[in-house]
Amino acid sequence: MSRVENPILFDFPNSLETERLLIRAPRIGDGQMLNEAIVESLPNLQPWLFWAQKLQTPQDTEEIIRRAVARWITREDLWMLLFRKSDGLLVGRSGLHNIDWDTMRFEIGYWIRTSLEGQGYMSEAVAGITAFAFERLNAERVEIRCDSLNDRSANVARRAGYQLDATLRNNDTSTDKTVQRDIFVFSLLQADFLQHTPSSETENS
Amino acid sequence: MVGIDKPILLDFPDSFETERLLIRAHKAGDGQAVNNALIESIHNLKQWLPMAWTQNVQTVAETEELIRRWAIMWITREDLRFGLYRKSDGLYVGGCGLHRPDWDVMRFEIGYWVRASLEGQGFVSEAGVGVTAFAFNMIGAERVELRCDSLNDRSIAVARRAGYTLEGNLRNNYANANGVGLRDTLVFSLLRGEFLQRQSETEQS
Repeated sequence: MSRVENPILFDFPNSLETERLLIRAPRIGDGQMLNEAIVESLPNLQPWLFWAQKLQTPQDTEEIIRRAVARWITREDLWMLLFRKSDGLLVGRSGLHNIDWDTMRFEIGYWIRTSLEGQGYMSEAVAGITAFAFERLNAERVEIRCDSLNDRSANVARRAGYQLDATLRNNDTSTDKTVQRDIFVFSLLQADFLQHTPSSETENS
Repeated sequence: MVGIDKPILLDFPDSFETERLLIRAHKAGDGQAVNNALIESIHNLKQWLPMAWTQNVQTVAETEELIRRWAIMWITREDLRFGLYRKSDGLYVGGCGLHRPDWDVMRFEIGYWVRASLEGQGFVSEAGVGVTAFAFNMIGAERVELRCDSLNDRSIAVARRAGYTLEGNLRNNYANANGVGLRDTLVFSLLRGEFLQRQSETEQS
């Protein structure tokens, strides 16, 4: 285990690529593009994401992006935007959140714009970000949490090789705050990752 | 709607009793008694709890400052830390609390410790059962969670005696308090419905 004493001085790349995607840290000016994807996807996001309960203006989104840029630099939270390489379209948002640099533990979150659902982009992104976490950040544990009723999200976790650690009963409320919901906790450990994908570094070279 | 908007305005008692214990919020002036218990117990605490006050011996003044911060967090409802006092002689027995409250979900995490000289007499189980009942009956909890190191057999036994259900095992979830290696965290929980059922069965018997 190699914990990071001072994460703000810990260097790692700002982007990564997978077959069809460029995945990178947010930048000033991304707000407009991200806002378009949010607006398009709001009905699909609302059942699962608290922040999606209210429509954002492009200005709101730009403000949120700038805060995310700052948190990337401080290493407090690593938001990532996904872009389709063929045409630069913003595919969705993901990232490594709830970071514990003492334990080298991270949580991947994700959502995809509605018009690009069902094409495997999110599984591709999660596989890429998972490899980034273990290979570039030296993660020990990467977690994925989702509502137990969110089948699509749970399937992304399973396809990426994550194992269900626990079902936290009544651990959250529905996004309309009317009922309690169960939360799945999936995880992948460094040893699991190295065992199943020993060659991902060499593939890149 | 689930949840409480302004927990700082939610009233509930700050003390109660079980068979052998007075269980009350910590208050200014408790520092000396708590410090004695901490010094006596530091070797045991070090093994399982990562906080600064469980890892290093404190002066009385440091413990008094800590207690006053706990008293503040009781008022703001950010953390509910009870002290346990033996009714027969007023001796400080240890601590038990409802931590990391999520007032939107009405979810709490119970934690506890007992001074080394009073281990093995069932005080922690008595406090755990009492504080659990307090959470559901006095605060309206929907879920109380209990987390412990998978190797902490004593803590696991307390969870089971108080009727908690094991939900899962978060693998490599935190750095061992000793700083050597990663540890698994067991997550137990008790839900409101289960507690009420258990309570009515106890009353009938």
